[in-house]
Amino acid sequence: MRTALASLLVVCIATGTLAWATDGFRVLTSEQARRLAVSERPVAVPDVGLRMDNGARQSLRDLLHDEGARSIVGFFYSRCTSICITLGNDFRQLQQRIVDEGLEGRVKLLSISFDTQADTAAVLRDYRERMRARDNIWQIAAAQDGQELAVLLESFGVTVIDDGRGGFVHNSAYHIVNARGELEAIVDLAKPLAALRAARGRRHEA
Amino acid sequence: MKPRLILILAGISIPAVLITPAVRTLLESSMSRHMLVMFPLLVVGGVALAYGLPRSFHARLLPWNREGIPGLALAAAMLMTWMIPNALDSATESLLVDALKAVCLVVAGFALAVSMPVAGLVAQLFFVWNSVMMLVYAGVLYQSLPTRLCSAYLIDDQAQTGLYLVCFAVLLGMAWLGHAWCRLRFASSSGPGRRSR
Repeated sequence: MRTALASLLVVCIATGTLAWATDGFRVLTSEQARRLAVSERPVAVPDVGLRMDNGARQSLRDLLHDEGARSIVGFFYSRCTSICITLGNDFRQLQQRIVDEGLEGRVKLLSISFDTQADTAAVLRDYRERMRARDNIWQIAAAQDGQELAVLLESFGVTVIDDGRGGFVHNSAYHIVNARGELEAIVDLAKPLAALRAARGRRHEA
Repeated sequence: MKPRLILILAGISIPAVLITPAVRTLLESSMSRHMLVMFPLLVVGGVALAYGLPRSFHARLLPWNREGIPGLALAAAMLMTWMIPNALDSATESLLVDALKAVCLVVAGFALAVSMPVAGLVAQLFFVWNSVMMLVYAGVLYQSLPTRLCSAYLIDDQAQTGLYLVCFAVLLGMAWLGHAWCRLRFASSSGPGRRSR
C-alpha cells in the first residue's frame, strides 16, 4: 500500500519535472521553448543603444518605432562564414520582395551585429554595400559592448559562444518586432517567407 | 572519523562544490563534461549519502519502496528530465535551475542506492535496459543531427558527447550484467530479500 502511494507520488513528480523541462510536453530544445513563449506572449525588447553603419548612435526602440510597421530583426557578425551568410542572402531577397510587393514602410529589416569589436561603422558600411541594402528598408547596426549587449541578446534569446577559432557560434532566426518594440514571433531561418507573412501581420506558420 | 560520516559529508560536499561558480564554469562550458562528468558526480553524491545513512533508515524506507520500484522509477525520471536539451540549456543559464538539477541528480543517486539492492533482477533489468536504450538513442541522435540541440554548446561537442553517451551506455550494461551474474551465482547461499551490501 505504502509502495503504491510512493509510486503514485513518483508518477506525479516525474510528470511535473518532465512537463517543466518540455514546457508542457511541447518542446525539447531551448530554441523551441523560446519561440513558443514569444508566440504566446510578446516580449518587450530592451531599449539599448546601437551603433549604426553611418556612425550615429540610435536607440533600438527608436529604430523600431514606426507606426504601422513591423521589423524583421536578425543577429549576425560580418566575419561569419556560415549561418549569417544565409541570413544575409535571405535578407537581400526579402528586401527585393518588399520592393516588389510595395511593402516599404510596412516591413523593415534590421541586422544587428554582436561582434562589438570587429564590426566598426566602416565594416558595417562595407557590409551594406555588399548586400546592396537600401537605407529606407534595411538598417544595419552593431550592439554596444558590455551589459547592454548581454541584455539585448538575452531578450531576443540569442546565445553567442566562442567557436575556439576566433569566431562565434550562435543561433539565428527571424525576429518579428512590432512598432511598440514587442517581439511577437520568432521564425525559423529556413522560412523567410513565413517571416515576411508574420511581419505583414498575417498569421505565420509555426 | 567514521566511514558513514565521511560518506554523508561526501554526499553533501560533492553537490555543494559542483555548483560553485568556478566549478560550474569549468564543467558546464562543455556538453560532454556537463553530461558525463558533472551528472555522474552528482549521482555519486546521492549514492554516498544513501550509504552513509544507517541501516535502520534503509529498513524504514523499505515498506515505501518494495522491490525498489518507486525508487528506480524516480531515478529514471530525474535522469531523463536533465537529458532534455531545454533543461540542460536552462541549467547553464541559471544558478537556481542548476541547483535544482543538483538536487534532482543527488536524489536520483540516492534512490538508486536504496532501490537497487532491494530490487529483483527483473526490475533491475527493466530499469537498466531502459536507461541503456535512452542513452544509446540520445547518443546516436547527438552524433547524427546536423543542428545543435543546445544553444550553449557547439555541434562538435554535441557529436562527441553522443559518442561518449553510447560508450557509457555499453559500460553501464556490461557492469549490470556482471552484477547480475554475481547475484545469481551467489543467490543460493544468501536467500531472498538479502541486502547486497
